[in-house]
Amino acid sequence: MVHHIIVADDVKMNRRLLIDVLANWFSGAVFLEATNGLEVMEYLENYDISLIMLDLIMPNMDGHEVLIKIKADSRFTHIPVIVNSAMTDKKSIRDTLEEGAVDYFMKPLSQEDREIVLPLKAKNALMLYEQNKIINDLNKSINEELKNAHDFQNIMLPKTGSMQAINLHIKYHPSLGIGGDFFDCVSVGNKTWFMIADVTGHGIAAGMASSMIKVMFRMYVEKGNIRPSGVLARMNKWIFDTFDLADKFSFIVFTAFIGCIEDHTLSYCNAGQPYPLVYQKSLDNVLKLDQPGTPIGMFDFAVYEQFCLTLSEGDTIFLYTDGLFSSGQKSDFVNWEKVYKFSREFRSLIKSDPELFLEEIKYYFQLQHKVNDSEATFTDDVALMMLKIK
Amino acid sequence: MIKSINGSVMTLTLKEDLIAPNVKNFETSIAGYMLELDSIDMEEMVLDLSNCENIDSIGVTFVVSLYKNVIREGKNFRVSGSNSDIRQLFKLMKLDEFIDLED
Repeated sequence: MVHHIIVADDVKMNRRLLIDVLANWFSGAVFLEATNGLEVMEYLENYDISLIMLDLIMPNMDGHEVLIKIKADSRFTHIPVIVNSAMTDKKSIRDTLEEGAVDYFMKPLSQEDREIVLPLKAKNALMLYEQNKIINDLNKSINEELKNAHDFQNIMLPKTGSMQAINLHIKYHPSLGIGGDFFDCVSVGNKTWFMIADVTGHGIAAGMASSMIKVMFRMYVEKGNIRPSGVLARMNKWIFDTFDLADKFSFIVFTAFIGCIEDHTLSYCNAGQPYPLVYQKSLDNVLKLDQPGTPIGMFDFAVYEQFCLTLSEGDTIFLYTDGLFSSGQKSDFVNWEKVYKFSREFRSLIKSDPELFLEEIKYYFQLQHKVNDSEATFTDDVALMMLKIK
Repeated sequence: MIKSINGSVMTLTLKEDLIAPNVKNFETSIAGYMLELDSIDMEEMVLDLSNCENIDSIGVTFVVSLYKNVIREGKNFRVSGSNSDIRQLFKLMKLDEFIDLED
């Protein structure tokens, strides 16, 4: 690897001295001379710089300003900077190191500095640069992969829009670019099937599991003669038949709620999802579907019970995952009651503008999370889905 | 996690919350306790959650795994010291039908 090293000093003799010192140790390096901070910034834009030897007092833009700009710019922040200055006061040294310089040498350089200390510290700084570069390249590659996975996951999700029997509204916020929450809605004949699921944990592994759930869901409901309880039972059986889960502490578990609307009748079955809500237009009431159920993948003998509800035009089903109300802080992991309370309070919005309701409830809980931690946003994946009956 | 034995009952008391960052450590400790449960004349394992205020989905999965492993060995399993929030979560997941939960 050819290292490009900037030597910034407004005095030519000082630049030559540093280059002579370093050239003995780094024979293949290319030295770029800068007489002020603006030239340093120009080199950074045009070369892949490995190390900067920086004077503090320079015309046009001084060394402090250069250092602050470099450390604030994500493209350059990993480049090590060694300061070589005539300023000897403690404050200047402290400020420079606090601003991100890896080392500080005072002019004039002693013989020991020239022969041993400076070259060795420059060598260490270059090693640091190489390590940082590997980490940066790796991060870039991982982020690119995550972005691709995120795009792929988005393609798999249904979009807000009109379907045969319902209008669908959705919001999705994966916590790590790719998430373990999953939802789907599909018309099969005169039935509208929908599902919301939340895989244990989040991130890439959970995202892979959610892709699997999507395939299973579509496969089962498109076969035709099946009920929501049957879909959950088959998913549960499939997991135990497919994976060797004996003696494992970690296994594939997800909560899920599946519904099927046919002729204004909702058949539904819950497997541990926080209780979905139904806005009943004629009663101007929000109903909680508070039937519990065992999450999928926990017990091979789990039995899934099905329930029914008659719906009318304008009734709206609201489903959400626990990332909405749970910040990971103590005592908020059962705050689905808060979702219920909010929905009751803003039921007129559910009726008039479901999209805005989803925005508002998301914003409300985002603020709730901030009460606990000023930096916080959602710490888990959040999926919200509303189905308004036509 | 602190282990205590009283007669034929092994009690595991959690000192930390039952959440994802802690579960890996719990799993490591449990592996040894399971061998002990098997080798000595133990009849029951009790998971004491009285110091546990927070639980997440990974934590619930851990409890279920522990339950399954203990039951597989032919021993009893129960959870003690669970607060009302934990009991609500277990009820949502119908785990209260499988696992004995005590206040």
